[in-house]
Amino acid sequence: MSDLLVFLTLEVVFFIFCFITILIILRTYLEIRESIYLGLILFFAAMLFNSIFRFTNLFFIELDLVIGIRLSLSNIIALLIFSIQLRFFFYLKKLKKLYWLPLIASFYIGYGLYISDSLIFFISYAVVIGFIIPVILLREGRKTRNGLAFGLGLFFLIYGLGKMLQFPLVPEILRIIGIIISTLAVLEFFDKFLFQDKEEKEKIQSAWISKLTDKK
Amino acid sequence: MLGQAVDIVELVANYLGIIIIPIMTIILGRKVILERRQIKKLNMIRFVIFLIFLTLSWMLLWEFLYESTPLSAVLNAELIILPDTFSFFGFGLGLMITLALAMLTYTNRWESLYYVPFFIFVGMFIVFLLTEIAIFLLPYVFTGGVMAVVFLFATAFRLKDNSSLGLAIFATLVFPTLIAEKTIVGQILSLTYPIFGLIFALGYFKLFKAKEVEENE
Repeated sequence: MSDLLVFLTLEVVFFIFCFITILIILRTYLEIRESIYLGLILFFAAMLFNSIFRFTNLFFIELDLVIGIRLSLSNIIALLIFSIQLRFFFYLKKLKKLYWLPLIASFYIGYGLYISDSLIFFISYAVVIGFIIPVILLREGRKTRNGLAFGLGLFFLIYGLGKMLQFPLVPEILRIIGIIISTLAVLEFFDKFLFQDKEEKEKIQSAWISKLTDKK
Repeated sequence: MLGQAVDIVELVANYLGIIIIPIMTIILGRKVILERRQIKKLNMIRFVIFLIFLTLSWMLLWEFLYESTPLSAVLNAELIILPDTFSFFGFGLGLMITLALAMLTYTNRWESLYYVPFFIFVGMFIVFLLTEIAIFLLPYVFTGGVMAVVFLFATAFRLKDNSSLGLAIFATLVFPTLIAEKTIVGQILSLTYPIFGLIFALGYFKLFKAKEVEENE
């Protein structure tokens, strides 16, 4: 019973942070009107749906619908999540010609699951996107001092790691850490505190010092 | 009687196609190379048109070998001619539509869509290699074909582009022959498109005059 309560609490925390993240991205989208933010909203909405599935699973209610041989609703959501991750990567690298590749690849992998029992392409796709893309995002985010890319890279990596580990409670905790990091990323936490421009910082500090000396 | 007429027209159309279309391809290829030498840059639109005709030549070659020579007795229809699977003919058909769609996106400068037709086609081909299933090929060919023709006409009139218009008319003539091949209408169109193609390849098809094109540019 206590286990159930812990899992339930963690899932609720995840759900709340995910919801907050969506609201912040929605606000940013309404200000900037960049299509990538719509993609990110879709990404976190898919996470939210995933959370609902996990929620119902805790009470032994199976909502996951299987279509064809291996294609299920949770697989479709996973493919959507992978697509948006990859699209976000292409967006940051300004590879405009490859924008539609993730969606088309996901469609064919989904079709593969629909007609056959083999998971090889699904897993390969998940590994490439779950580990290689986040590492590149982290590196790029650090190099270009882009807090959103860095934060989301960290989130994708931690979330992917959580999916791989089978120890009790560790995946859930990693998910929570991941979603908190993503919320901080969309709140521009990393831009403000980690990647703050040195010159800008010095300017602010010098202005602050000069104000103090003026008063004296 | 009508059946006999269809057969005769089909034979003439096959011979006409197999002679004229490769000649057109050579003319277009030569133009691409000459232009490349002159301006030291590849004219992408002309190059794609050349690839489209090269693919058409490939398709007509297999069609001719299968339908007009005694080789049909030894050639496997599924491997050579069936349009609903990745036979030599079917592959060419899919590739031709892909190139037409790619040209469309390139002419309209829809940068994020440049490679989409290739992604779709390669995806279908990989699925076919792994599973022998090609259920998406014919829907892709028909949908893509109709889209290509409609948008090529729209692009041609919007941009006053002779290449797009020529290709649109050519595709309009070719497309019904693929659907209604065994009818008299289909066979007459089979006779018409190589003739139009030759006019187009030789550069005589210029509905929009140079002044109009310049004004538009």
